Amino acid sequence: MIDVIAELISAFGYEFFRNALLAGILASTACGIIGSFVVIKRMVSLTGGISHAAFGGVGLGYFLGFSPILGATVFCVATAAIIAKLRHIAHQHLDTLVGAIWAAGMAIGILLVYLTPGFAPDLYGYLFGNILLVPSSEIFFMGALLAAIIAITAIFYNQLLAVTFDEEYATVMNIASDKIIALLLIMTAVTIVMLIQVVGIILTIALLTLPAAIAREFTGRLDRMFYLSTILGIAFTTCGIFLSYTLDVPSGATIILIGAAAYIIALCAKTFCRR
Amino acid sequence: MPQEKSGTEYDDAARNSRQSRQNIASVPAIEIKDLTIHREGQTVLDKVSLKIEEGQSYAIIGPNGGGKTTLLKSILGLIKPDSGFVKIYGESPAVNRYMLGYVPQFHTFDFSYPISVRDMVLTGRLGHIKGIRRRYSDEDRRCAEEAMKTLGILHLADRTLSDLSGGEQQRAIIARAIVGNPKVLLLDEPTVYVDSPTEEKFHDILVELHKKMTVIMVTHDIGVISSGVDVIACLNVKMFTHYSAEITSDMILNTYKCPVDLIAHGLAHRVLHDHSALESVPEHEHEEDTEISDRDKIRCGCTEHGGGQ
Repeated sequence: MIDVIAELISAFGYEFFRNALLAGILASTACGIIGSFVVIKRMVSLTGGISHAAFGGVGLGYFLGFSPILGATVFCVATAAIIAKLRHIAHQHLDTLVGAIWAAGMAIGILLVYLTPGFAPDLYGYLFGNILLVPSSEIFFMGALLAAIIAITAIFYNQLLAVTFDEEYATVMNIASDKIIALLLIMTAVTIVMLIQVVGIILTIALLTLPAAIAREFTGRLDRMFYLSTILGIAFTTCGIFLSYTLDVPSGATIILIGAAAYIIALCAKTFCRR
Repeated sequence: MPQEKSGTEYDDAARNSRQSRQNIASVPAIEIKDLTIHREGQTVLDKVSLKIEEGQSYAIIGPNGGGKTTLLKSILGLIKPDSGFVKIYGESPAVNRYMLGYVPQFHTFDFSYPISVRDMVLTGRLGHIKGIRRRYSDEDRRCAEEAMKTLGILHLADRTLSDLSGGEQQRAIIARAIVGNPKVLLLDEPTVYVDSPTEEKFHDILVELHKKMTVIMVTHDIGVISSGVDVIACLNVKMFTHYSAEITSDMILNTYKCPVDLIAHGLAHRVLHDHSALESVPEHEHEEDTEISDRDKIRCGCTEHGGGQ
């Protein structure tokens, strides 16, 4: 036991470990804000579509020889913009559209990775995440994205609240609802890019929704949901990083399993309290 | 307050009404001319024309799918007309819709949204607020308290919306609609999902509100129409009205395409002039694709009271 603690303390001496913790905190904060909107606006499948489309960008990055994460960013933001645009035109077919984007994004990625000559390094990391490999440069990138998300949410808070509660009424209040939704979707895309570093494409939806879903059970205010889910997200990622480091297992999956376990415990606790 | 363009015209209208109800302003509160809307190949509204003067209480009845909600949404500028136009105090909806209060259908809400009653009511002020941040002023907060007081829910201000009962939630939604001090209040099926004791209070609230503003209500439930209504219109793709508070048998026949049992119950005001007259009227020719189901017949005939579904 003492060995484990000593090992963890010594781990702080490594830059990669400090970076991992920092990346976890930054991503969890973005998740706390955007995840709350995703949960209350019921955009979970939509978010899944955006995150899986990212793999197409990763593939394009490998194929053309630029940073896969840049490719993922372009694909995520483009997908978010397309969904924002087609939201009304497609109407009842939005679900199908999201499914198509989801699958097509993955297919493009698989094809491009196959066509790229030689071995694709870190491919596994993009799919399943490896928070212990986040470089320092990436931390600054994530910090900048998070600062933008916090600033935009603070400025447009009243409008975001009104639009996500009742979009038509917000329009009657002369709020540009479509633009606010587009803004929210693009912020979601940016958050997904941050999360790909932490838990990978496949598991992003889980980290985005689990903390917010738990927070929702215990508070009736959106702003408190932000704080609570941020704290939960930080707890999940930090515990996950420590566990995966000591047990030498994949970090992304560990983080998600901790979150899922906490969600189940929260639901049980809630049901138990009601009785 | 009023925007440039015909601002003076609107000023006059507002002043006239405040001085006297009878002195009807030159500009109608709502003017609809030949409004036609198609959706997915079907005509939802066919050349609907309507003039609602300031201070009037207007009830529009008709079967489900008759275009009632579509009509309200076009007044609000949420649905663009294929032809014809809607004017609010002589201007397009986009310009003047901040003068409207809107109570959407109850079931369209996600009441599980994490928001306090106060914050939800405050969103009704956003139409008056300029600036990128749209921050609420003390005046906005005062108006919100005023609106909650009017609806008798001030003591619930800091409760979460999802913790309220159905009737309280509905009053919160009406508070949001009146918090912007609208000139015109639009209500979409206001009695659906409201239990009878609440409905009684709801009638009192409506009568109170009508003293301050023009009220337009659409419903499939004739039983809800109280004696305070000035004009009743029937809407089933086309609009039928005699600009009076009576439904005539030909309006019903035109709207529902069959004679409808129109006996009102309980609280409701008896809207039909002479019930026996209806049965003697010969059935009009049925138009194609406007058949209504038995369910609609029962609803519009209000054989069940309270509008519960």
